[in-house]
Amino acid sequence: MTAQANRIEADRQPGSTGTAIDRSRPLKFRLDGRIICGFVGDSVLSAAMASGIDMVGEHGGQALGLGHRFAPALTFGKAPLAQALPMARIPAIDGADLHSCGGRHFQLPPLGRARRSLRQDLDRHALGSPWYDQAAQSQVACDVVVIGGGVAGMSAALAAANTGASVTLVETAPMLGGNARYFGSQEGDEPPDQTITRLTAEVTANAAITLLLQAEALSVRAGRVRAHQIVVDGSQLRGTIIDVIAPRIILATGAMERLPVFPGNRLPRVITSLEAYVLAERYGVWLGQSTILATVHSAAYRLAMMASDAGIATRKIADSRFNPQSRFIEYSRAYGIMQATGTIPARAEPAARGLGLSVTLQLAIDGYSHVEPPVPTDLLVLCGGWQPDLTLWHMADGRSRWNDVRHRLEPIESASQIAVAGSAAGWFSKHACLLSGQDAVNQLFGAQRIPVTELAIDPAFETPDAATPSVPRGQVVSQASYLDGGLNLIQPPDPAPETGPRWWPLRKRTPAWSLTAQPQALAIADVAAGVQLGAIPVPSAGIVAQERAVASGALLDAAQPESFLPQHPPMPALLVPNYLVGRFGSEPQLWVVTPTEPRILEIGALLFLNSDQSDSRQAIGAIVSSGQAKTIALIGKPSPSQGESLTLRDTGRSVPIKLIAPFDGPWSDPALSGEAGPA
Amino acid sequence: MNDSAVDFAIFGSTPLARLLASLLASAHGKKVVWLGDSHAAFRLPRSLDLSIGPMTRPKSWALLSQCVPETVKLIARAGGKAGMTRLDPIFFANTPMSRQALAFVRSSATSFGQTIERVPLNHQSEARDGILLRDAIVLHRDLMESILDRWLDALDIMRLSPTHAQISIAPDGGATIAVADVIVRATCTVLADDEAILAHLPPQTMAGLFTRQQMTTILTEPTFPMAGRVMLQLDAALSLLQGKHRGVTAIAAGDHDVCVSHIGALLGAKRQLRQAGGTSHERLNTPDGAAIVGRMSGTGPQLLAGLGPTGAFLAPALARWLAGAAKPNEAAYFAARNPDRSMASSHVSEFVPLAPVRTIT
Repeated sequence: MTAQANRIEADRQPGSTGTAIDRSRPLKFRLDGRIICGFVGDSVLSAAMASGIDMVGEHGGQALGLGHRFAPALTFGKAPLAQALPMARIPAIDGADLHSCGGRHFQLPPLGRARRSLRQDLDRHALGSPWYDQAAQSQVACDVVVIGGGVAGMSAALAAANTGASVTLVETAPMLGGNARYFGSQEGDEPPDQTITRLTAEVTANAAITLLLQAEALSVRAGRVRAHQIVVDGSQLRGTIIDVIAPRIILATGAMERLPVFPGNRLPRVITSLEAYVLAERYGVWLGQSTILATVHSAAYRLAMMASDAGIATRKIADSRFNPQSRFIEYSRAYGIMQATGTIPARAEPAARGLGLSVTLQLAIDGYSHVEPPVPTDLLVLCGGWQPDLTLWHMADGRSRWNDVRHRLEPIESASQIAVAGSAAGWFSKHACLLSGQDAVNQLFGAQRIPVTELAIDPAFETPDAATPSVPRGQVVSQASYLDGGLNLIQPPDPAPETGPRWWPLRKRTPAWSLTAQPQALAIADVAAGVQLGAIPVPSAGIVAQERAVASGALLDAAQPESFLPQHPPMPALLVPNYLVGRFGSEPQLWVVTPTEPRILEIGALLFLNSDQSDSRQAIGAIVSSGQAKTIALIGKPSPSQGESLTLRDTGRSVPIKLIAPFDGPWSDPALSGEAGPA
Repeated sequence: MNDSAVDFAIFGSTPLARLLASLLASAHGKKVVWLGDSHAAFRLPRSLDLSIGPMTRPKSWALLSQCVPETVKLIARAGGKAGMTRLDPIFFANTPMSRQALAFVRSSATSFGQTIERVPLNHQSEARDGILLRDAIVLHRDLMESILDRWLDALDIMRLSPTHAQISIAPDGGATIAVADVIVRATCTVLADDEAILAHLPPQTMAGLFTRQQMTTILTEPTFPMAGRVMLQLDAALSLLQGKHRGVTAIAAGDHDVCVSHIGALLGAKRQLRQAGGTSHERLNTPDGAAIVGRMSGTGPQLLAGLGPTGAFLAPALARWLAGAAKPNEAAYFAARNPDRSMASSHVSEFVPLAPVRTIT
């Protein structure tokens, strides 16, 4: 596992050989005892994937692939779990000794499939994010905080700084720019590379903007953003939680790529197109030598051409759109890439031999369906369309609604001090994202709004995205399918039909399935998939997303136990509480009573005229206060007299008691202070 | 335009509303239209359906003990066994007032055959009392909803969504419901849950009858087993239900932070809990803590409110009462809980937790 089998050769065309890595500076580190080779500039994740590790572990007996959104937390050496860091954001460091957190299957030495796996026991231990549970260690104050360092976020930060405001820009990646490069340039518009270079230079030169790179925003509440940043501390890396206090917040969190729902959609070597692009463009990593792409979006054709430039064979592009048009499609034909339109991925299975896959495609047009023979490939790249990342928007009480044309949740603008910009706001083109960043600032400062328009190509020449494909229910298959590619492992309802007649006790029943029963936060893409699968009605999609698409840390902060003390005002118990009013007649009296045998009389014990009675509706009184000094009963019997005997029933036993004297104290419990009277 | 007439229009999305609609049609031969939403399979619950509750009055326990077996049989007949679970809830109380109330819950319930045990000391402290109530039934709304919807369909009960209907409720309690090309005229309208009352009762009618209380629902990721799968904390109006995947649904009075502090106080700060979902909503409380059953001054719709977690299990008695076939004890019980009673000197009042409420104006 020491060779970098998945690293694209350095002599290939620029654009897929890794802009972030320095191939002249190799490094080595240990991951769970295995030596991993990489280069300076690699993340631990990219180096591991370059070295052939592509599997996290098994879930329900099935292998799950490693990826940017599904990777375990790691610790350095024997550091405690609380100091764990996210694998995708840790830069590779020469000589580091890293250990994955969670429950691992023990196997020494790793054999067969386990050699490519981090061997996480996903059935017993879900992948965690311990940094979500930590309290803030420092605080930063500013006028505006912008979350997301893509083109919309940078545009917003600059616009805010131009108003004279102090700005903090929070970006998860180690560099600014976001994902605009993936979508390519548009005629008449500045190429994304140039835009990113220009904006990055302006942002870094602007003294009013403070950059927090390698910082993931964890939560947003009114006036506060909590972020987790990886910082270099001497020769060590550590995570720190920062609270950014700002009255105005702009969310430019981009969009998430949807995962088509079909059996085997999370096997190792099944990845999304954006992840494949980032791995190739930044780190020069491509898994295997052959690829099948399944897409609903034209930019995936750019990726296919990029792969061809890197010497990767693209066996086929399956496009769920019928006869799609795009400039990228025209270019890809010049590369000789085979295209299958109206085709969706039906299932993926591990290849009988080797590390690759066997992918089955399905022609699905207007009710016509034809399943094609399986095709072997090293990698299956999926693009299921784009869902604005509204996780933080929903956490901040932002609302959203389902757009039935674009098949996704989109934010509804509110009057609060939080605005959403760029792809997160639902915009597609770089042009619109730049404008929406500026407009978000105007919105928050009450200035005149900027009309935001898409720089759109006529649909006749650029076919819009299709809905995320999902394989029709009802097929019995060996591989599991998942709604999304993140930490949640939520599967759609079991398609297996019930068997046998209803009266047959051993008949197989379809297990009940509901999102409510899933005890985990949902990713917004889970909700979008739920809508498309019919599990969530369209009108409720926004509400479900707001309720469930949350990311949060520990609910209870063990460091502050005093905050859990009940916050009740010190109210005394009344001797005649409201629920006893009218129960024992209209004019009950309080009497001091005593048992005729040594016994503690409990509050609530009922009094009867004789020991034959036991129905509580026949009770003529009850004990309302019981202390060391005296026991007081509320008695509804007409004309009670001193020394009179009654029967007390408690837990089924009868105890004779005697009335001692009328109680003439206050009508609150004598053990407590306070004024009270009969209700 | 298709015009039809029915006896009852039942508004509400809870199991109680569905059970009432089905019982009025199947047991009492009434023509019924049901207006509600089916969203329990994907939205967080706003309340709990439990066959026991923190009731201090023997008459409430008497009615409940009569209705629970009937309701359970009914649900089983509708194919709803999978939507019910038998378990042993625990009620806790912290303050002197609620501990006193808990003592009366215990004595009242015991006399109707409810087996009650004190909670072992390791689950409580000096500042807390706890009782365990044996053999209660909880309804799982996410499963029960679809089961009852199928039953309503089997009974030919028209199911309509109030969001897509034009609804007009007359002073005599009748309703006209227009959906697309269908008009349904109902002789009697029943508002069977808080959502329906908030949507269809004028605020001036609600004032004095109800106060609004902010409630929060929090769903957690799986955690260690709780002392009981259902736990109620009387002071905070907090209900905890641990599902089969060990996730906990907490419903409490107050905002998110207050709800979290109540969960922490009950479960302890050392417990690892992570949020899997959350929402806030409003609940209608009555000033005396007792249910409201009936019409205001004999006009307008029938109101069913403040029934607590046991509401669904009172459906058979409520259906009989609505159909004019109530047994004497049922008629007396519901008559005492009519909306026109004096709330200041109520003879049916129940324990009211100390939680902030908002008066309706």
